[in-house]
Amino acid sequence: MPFRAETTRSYLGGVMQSYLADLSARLTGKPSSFSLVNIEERYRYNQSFKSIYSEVPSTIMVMLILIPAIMTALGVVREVETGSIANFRSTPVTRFEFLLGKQLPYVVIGLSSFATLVLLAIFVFGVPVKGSWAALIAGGLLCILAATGFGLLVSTFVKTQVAAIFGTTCIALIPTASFSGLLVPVSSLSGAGRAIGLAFPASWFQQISVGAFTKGLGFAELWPNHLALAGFTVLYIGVAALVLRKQEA
Amino acid sequence: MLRKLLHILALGLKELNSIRADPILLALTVYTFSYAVYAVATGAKTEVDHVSTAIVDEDRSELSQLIQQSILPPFFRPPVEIPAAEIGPSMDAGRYVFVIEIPPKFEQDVISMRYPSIQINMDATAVAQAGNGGAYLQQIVNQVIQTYATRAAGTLTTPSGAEIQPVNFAVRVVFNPNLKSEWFNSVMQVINNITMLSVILTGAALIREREHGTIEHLLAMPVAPSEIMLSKIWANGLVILVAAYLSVKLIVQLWLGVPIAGSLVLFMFGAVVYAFSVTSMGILLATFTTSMGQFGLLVIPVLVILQMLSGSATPMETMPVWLQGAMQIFPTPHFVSFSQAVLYRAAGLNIVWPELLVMAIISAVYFVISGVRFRKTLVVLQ
Repeated sequence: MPFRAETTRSYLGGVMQSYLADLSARLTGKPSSFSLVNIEERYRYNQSFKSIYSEVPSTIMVMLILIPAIMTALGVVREVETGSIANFRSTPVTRFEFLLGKQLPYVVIGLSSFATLVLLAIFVFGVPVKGSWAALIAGGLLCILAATGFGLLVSTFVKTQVAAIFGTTCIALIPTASFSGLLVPVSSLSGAGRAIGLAFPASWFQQISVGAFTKGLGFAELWPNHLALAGFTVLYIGVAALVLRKQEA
Repeated sequence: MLRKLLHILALGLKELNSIRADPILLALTVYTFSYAVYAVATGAKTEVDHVSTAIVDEDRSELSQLIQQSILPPFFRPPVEIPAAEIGPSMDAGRYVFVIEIPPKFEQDVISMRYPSIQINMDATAVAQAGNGGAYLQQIVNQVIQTYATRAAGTLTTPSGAEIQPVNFAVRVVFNPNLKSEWFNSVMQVINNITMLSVILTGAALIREREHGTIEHLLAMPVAPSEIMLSKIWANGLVILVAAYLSVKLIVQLWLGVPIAGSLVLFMFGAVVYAFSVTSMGILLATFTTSMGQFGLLVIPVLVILQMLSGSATPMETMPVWLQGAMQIFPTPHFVSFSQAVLYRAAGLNIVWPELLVMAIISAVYFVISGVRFRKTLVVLQ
C-alpha cells in the first residue's frame, strides 16, 4: 500500500516539524518559525478536503458507464446465439432502426438509474449539485447514449454472450477505473494511460460529473466534454452499423 | 470412484474445448492478464508522479525563477507559466492540479524578512495527488527559499536548511523502498483478474448450458451434479491459473521488473485454493439467475465489492469494523493478505497457514451451498 506509506510519511514529518517549532518556542520564549515565507494552501472546489465530494460524482460516472454498457452488450449477440437474428435479416428493418431499437430501452433504464444515483448523492451522501443542473442532466444522457452505444458495438463483434459480458467488462473496466480521473487526474497521466483515458467516454463524463457536482461548473466550461460524448455515440453506433451489415452478407 | 474421476476429467475436457472454440474470449483472457496488468500498474499511479502544475509569476525575480526550476519530474510536470486570469478557467477545465502564485515583490520581501505569502492553489477533487503533492511542494518551496536567503545574506548566520533542523528525521521504508505503486498495483491487478475471470467464466459456462438446453443432455447421462460442477471448476480454474502464473512470471517480474521476494510455488498453491472458492462462487451466482443478462448484472456489483473492499484498493483497517467483519465471509480479503505476505514480504507457510485454512474452509462451504442450489435448479428443470 505505497500510497498510505507516502501519506503517513508526510504526516509524520509534519507532526515532527510542528512539535519542534512548539518546543523551541517554549524553550526560547519567542515564537519561532523555521520558514521565511507563509505558504497558503488553497483547497479549491473542496475546502474541507473530503474525498466524498469527488468520490460520489466519480462513482456515478463508473455506474453510468459500466451498467448500461453491459446490459446493452447482450442485445445483438443474444439474437445471434438463439438464431432470432434471422428476423432482422429477413425483414426490411434497416440497420439503424435495429440498433437504435436495441439501444432505446436501455437508455430509458439508464436514465432512471441516473436519477436514482443523483438523488442518492444528494440525500444520502449529502453531496450537493453546486453547478449547472442542465449540464449534469445533459451530460448524464449523453454518457448513457455513449455507454449503450459501446455495448452495442461490442455486441456486434462477439460471437457468444459470455464473450460479450466479459469483453465489455474488461475493455470498459480499465479505462473507467484507472484512466478516467477516478484515481489520478487525466492531466497527470502519462503516455498510453492518458491516450486510453481520452479515447473512452468515462474520462469525459468524469469531468462533467465532478464539475457539475463539486466544482460548480456549467455548460460554459463543460461543453467540449458534452461534444466529445456525443461524438463517441455517433462513432460507436456508426461502426456497429458497419459491422452488422458485414454479418448480413 | 475412478469412474467419477473419469467423468469429471471428460466433462472438463469438453469444457476446455468450448473455451477454445471462442477465440475472442481467449484473446480477452490474454489481454486482461498481459497488457491490462501492465497498463494499470504503470499508468495509474496513486503516488505523486508527474502531477500537472502551473505557475503565475508576478515577481519575475531570480528567486521566482529558482522556484519554478526546482519543480521537477518525476514528482511534477515542469510548471507551465500562465497569467493570473487563467487560474480559474484552467483549473475548472482540469488542466492543472496545482497552480503556484508568486506575488509581486516576493524576492524583496524575503530578503528583508517581511514574511511574504505565496499561494498554492490545488484542485482538491484530486484527493490523492493534492494532499501529498501539496506537502512536497511546500517542502520544495521552503528549501529553495532557505538556500536562496542564506546565499543572499552571504553569511552562515541566516537560518540555513542544515542549521535549523535540530533533529534529523530518518524514514526507513521496508519491503518497497521507493514506494513504487506499480510493485503493489501489478500483483493486485493479477488477483483482481483471477477473481473476475473465475466468477464470470464458470458462472457463464453453466448458464450457457442452460440457455442452449444442453444441460438436459447432461442430465440424461449418468453423471452427478457434483461431477458437472467439479468439471467446470477444474477446467476454468486451470485456464485462469495458467494465465495468472504466466502473468506474474512474464508481465510482473520480467516486463515490469517487480522483485518477488517470496515463493511463487507457495503463491500458486494459495491461488489454487482461492480459484476453487471463486469458481464455486461463480456457480453459486449462476444458480440465482436464469439468463446471461441477469448473471452479468448480478456479477458486476459482486465484483466491485470484492475489488474495492478486499484490501487490494484501500487497506482493510481504514474500513468500519462491521464492514471488515462482513468481508471475512468472502475469500478475496484472505487471498489478498496471503499474497501480500508471500510475494512482498517472503512469508513462509508457517506464517500464512491461517489464511490458507480459512480459504479452504470458505471454498468448502461455497462448494456445498452451490451444490445444493445447483441440484435444486436441476430438479426444477426436470
